[in-house]
Amino acid sequence: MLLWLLLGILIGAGAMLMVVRPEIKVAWFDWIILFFAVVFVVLGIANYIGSMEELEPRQAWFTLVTFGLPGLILAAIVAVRIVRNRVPA
Amino acid sequence: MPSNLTRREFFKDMGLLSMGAATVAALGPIEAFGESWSDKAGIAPRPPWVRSVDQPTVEIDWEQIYRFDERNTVRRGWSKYLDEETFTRVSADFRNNAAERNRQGLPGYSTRDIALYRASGIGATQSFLGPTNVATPEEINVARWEGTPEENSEMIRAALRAFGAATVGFVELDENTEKLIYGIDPDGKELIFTDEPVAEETETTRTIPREARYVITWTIQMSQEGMTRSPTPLGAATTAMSYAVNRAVQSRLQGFLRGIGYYGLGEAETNALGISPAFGVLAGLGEMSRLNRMITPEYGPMVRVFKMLTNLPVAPTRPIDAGIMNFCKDCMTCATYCPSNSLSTSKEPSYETQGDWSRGGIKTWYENSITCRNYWAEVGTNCGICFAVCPFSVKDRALIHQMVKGTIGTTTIFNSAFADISRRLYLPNPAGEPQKDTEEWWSLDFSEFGIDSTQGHGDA
Repeated sequence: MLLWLLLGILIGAGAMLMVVRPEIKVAWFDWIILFFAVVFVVLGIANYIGSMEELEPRQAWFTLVTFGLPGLILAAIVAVRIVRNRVPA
Repeated sequence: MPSNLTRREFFKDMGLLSMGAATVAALGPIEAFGESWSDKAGIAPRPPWVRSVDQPTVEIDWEQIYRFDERNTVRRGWSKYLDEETFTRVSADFRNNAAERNRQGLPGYSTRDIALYRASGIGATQSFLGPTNVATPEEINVARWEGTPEENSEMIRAALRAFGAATVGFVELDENTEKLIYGIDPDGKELIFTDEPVAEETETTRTIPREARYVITWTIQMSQEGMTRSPTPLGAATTAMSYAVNRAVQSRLQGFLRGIGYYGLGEAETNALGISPAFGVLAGLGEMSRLNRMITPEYGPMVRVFKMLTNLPVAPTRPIDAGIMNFCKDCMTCATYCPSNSLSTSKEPSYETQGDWSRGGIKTWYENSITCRNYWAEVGTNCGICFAVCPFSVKDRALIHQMVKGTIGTTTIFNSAFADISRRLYLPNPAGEPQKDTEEWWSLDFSEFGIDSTQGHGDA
């Protein structure tokens, strides 16, 4: 439970930062991509933890990579776009 | 993604993607929505992909069905199907090979593994008429319990859960389902229906009053962590344990029914009275499968199924379609991993049996029970590999299982892929070997009985 609380705080803080900092410009479709990135990463983590509890480490790593990697790639796309479109302070 | 993509273009693309997804979905039998959820009276609420249906997914020809003599199964009639010399040899193997493998130092055959297996079968006794040490309402001068069939189903489900059952369902006997009660019990006693209101047992017969029209059927969970150590005594311990647990569950239910003013007629011994998977399938506890056993949506095949006749009116539960039988057509994992090649590898089920140990009359995947039982003799214990390797034999801690089961219950197009992934992830060892380390089992921190009793239930 503590993990999910910390993850929620982290995601919320990140989103807040992107909204309030004027030099960070996020297009509307970046938000949609980020939403899917977060869903994939959370699914990857949830399945990793669940499979480890089931004593199935192969399944755990498989689901972490299967869900987590696309999530990270989507997040990276948005990160690159944000860096490129950054407004100088 | 181009940064000049407009909102209009974005949603247009999303619309095209949705249409594509809908087309793919239409290729499979999409039925997840629009049909009723499974019955809640006497059965735990289930997700929408477990659909209640009017007829079970297995085809039944009731004309071919007759009241079977249980002694024709290989469980009791092994010697009937072998010549005397072979039977003498394999029955000696069955008695001696566990000890022989212990001396060879094979994993899962240590002295403590064998002791665990033998001790797991110790437990309560069971009988057709049940214990009489619970007072009837008449004996303590209180009113007999009266409830609607729906209330009674819910009550029995709650009682059985408290006694140790996993899932519970109900069937009302009619001229067809009555044929699923054995003609002859394993001990040779004839099972006779009678118009008299009192059940009786003699030296040669057991009489069942026709007022006992209701079948209560339930499952007892087995431990996945135990069974994945099959085929060894360590792996077989969970089977022995679930039968032992049930002997107490059955007696408690008979005592409970007596205590509210009714009666329950149970199995006089293991697998007696009637065909458990048949009642389980009709009551919606699961679907028939390539194992020629029942697979449940909650625990896969990792259950034992039991039944009892009662005169307490209960509301029947309906069969289910969770995509399990369709999945079996594409999967084949159990048949591939069966070391004695006893399971059918035909894609489609058939009415054709492989021997007189099966009664026939249902369109399923009939097994070769002789090669199966002879393999038990070879390994000196009961096998269970087919249960252990089934893709449905998973615990439910990871979300992925609900996602996969939901997809299987909705469409058939991913079945082969799911089966393949399951084999790659869960089955690292070749057929005939335990899929997990047998020594490691002794250091695990298990929940009671090695099962997760919250699995498949909302009110943990």
